[in-house]
Amino acid sequence: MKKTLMMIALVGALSAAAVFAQGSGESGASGSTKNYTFGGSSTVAPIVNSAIPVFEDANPGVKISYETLGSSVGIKQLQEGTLSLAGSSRELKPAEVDAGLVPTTIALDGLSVAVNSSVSISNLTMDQLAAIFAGEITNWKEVGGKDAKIELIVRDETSGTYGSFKEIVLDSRKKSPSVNAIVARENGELAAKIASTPNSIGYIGMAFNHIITEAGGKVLTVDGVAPSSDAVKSGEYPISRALYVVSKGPLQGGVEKDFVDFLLSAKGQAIVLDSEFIPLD
Amino acid sequence: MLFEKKKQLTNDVALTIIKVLSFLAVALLALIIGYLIFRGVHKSERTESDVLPLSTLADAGFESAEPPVIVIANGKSNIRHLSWFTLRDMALGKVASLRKISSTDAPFFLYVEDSALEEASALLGIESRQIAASGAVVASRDEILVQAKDRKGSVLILSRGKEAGPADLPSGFREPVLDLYVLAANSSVVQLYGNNRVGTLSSDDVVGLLSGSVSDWSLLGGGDIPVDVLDAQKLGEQAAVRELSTREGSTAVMPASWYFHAKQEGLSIDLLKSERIDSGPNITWEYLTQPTVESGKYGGILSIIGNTFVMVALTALVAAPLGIAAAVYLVEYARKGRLTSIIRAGIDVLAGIPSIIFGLFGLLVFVQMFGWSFSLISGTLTVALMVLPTIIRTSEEAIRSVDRSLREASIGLGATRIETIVKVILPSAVNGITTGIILAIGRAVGETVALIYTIGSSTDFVKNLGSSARVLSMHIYLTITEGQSFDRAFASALVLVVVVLTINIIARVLMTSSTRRQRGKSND
Repeated sequence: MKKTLMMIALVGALSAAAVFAQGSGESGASGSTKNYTFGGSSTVAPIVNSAIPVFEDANPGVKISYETLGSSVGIKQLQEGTLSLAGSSRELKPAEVDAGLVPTTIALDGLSVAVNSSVSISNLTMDQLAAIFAGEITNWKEVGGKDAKIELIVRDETSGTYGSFKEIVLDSRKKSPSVNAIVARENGELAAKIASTPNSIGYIGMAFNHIITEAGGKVLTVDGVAPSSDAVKSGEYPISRALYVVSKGPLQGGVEKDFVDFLLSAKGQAIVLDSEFIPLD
Repeated sequence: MLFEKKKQLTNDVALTIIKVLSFLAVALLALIIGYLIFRGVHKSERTESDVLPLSTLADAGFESAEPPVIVIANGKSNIRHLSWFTLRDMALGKVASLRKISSTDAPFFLYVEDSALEEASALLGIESRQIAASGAVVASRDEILVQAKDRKGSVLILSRGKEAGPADLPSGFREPVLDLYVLAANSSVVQLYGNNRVGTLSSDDVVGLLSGSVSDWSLLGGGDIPVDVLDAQKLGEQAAVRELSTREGSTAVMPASWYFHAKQEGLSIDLLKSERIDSGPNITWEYLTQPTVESGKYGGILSIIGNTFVMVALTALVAAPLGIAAAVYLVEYARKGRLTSIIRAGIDVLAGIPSIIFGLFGLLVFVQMFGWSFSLISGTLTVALMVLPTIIRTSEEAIRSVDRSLREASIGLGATRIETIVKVILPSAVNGITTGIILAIGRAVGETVALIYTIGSSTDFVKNLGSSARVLSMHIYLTITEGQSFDRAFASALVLVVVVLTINIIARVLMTSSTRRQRGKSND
């Protein structure tokens, strides 16, 4: 009985402490810190998360958080006003542009094609890749591998990675994505699924190659070119895309504009490179 | 008699089946917990590297020459091995921190003993003045040892001198393994043949290649060319490189600097990448006690553990009074009728709703409609709503099981109804109610889905109700989502499992003590 009362008292005290802490640190009231919520693409997250501490150091009193929600959810929440800046790994849809959203390119990224370690081949041409993801080629032996069924692993349709891959690889060849595919919601999940599904193939942002390797998969070359920042920059590597931050209307001053300017500055672009993405020139 | 025997037999069979099934269940549980603990404390990271890991070379029976210098690093740097390429970048001043090298958040400093400068520059193929210009400190051994001792990210290049070895490793430092050899091959080896190419080689592949048991590159996924292993050490640099660049299918283990020179001259030599499995302890004291850096890529999870406790305490603070009040109403006041049964059914439905629906509700109502954004309060209220049915149901049971005689005695002594509830019923039901709350907390602490769109993901310790706060379960989810590392996710998972386990044990202890006391009371 005493013990339980003590427990309840403890819980109460803890919560009271939190509530009091709220009173003293409430944003706006004291004017000392101002909170900003950005969010969106999980591919853009490593860049922004690396940039935030550096930016906050240079701008005391500013507190930014980046919520990893996925490109499409992020853009939706930007429109709802929950976020003041959204990261996106896909281009804006016409409807979104009409609604007044403005994208700013902050980095380039290549998409890697990754396979399970049971797959013997090390390369695919773009045409073969398109045919595989359209469901026209269904056996590895058709592209020079073993006689085994190809297991497709794709990202969910709200992800920017899905959108970019579809546009670059399939749309340009007037193909539509195969419906017989396993869907992975996140980059890490995709890596885990490729590593654990024999004869599987999937695609992932180039910056996540290390997690494919860590999980035991391998990264293919496309048209004989390995995904690297040099190859993407020179245009040799065929599957590349831009990464964006999206704002509601053109940025005119404010922390959002400062942050975007910072990302585009030499220091910001160094962070882009450090996060294994490709800086703009 | 026969009938009896048959009965006995069915009994035995049933018992065996039950035993086997229960054993299976226990074995499965042990497997899951065991695997979690194993992955939590032990890390085994697979990476691809340009150099041949020393362990692979040893497996292949290759005798590598002793490096001309000794390289040591600060004991807290976590550097286990250094490749020739990394060492070269360090000496050229291209390395700013240890983040990429040993996943440790520390600025990098290079110290070179003055008498080792010549050897270091020869080994790395850089002029000694370039090393000095890179920002490296060049001084006597005693001086650099003193300076490097307090700097976590320091790497020291010392001269080998006459007597050497790990025996005279100064305290507070560690000696990383130096990987100075590469597996180079003629360019014909790594070419594309159709869609096939020699991939990353495992330790076994390298051993097979060097011992001659792998005689054709097609066995490793390459073209149909016979393997031709050259003895680079015997040939010497000039001859080895010349042979390698002209002989189709040839390969050789050679110092990385030879390969580097040959590549600079534009010879058709390429590297064969090899696999490295890095194993070691995963969860460390530092991981538990350091704040998070760059959303969990580096540093520890202290602030996240703190956020978890704050979130759970607030959830209990919101959900417990509501739940207990509802339970009191349902037991003591509500008349048995249509409305009550609808309320009860509603609570049961609420208890069975998947948490994603609570998450969506939280997003639309707390985050968007109320404009609270992704914050501690949005997440807490969402989870509080989610665990409310659990608290109502368990509290209801506890209140209902309070002995009728207690109630009657209290009323009989002239107490009012509310006095009876507050002073008699709730105190005797307190253990059952607390158990319910703790079970609810257990559910809240592990909740992820309801929090994805509500609580936010800032890794800082929460400052107020409106700040975004990452909790443990979300951290595990985001570590995977943002593709950081499975090992770090497992380390956090182990912490979360321990927290949940502790909460369950507390609930258990309370539950047994409550039944014991009740039994004691009824015996009186």
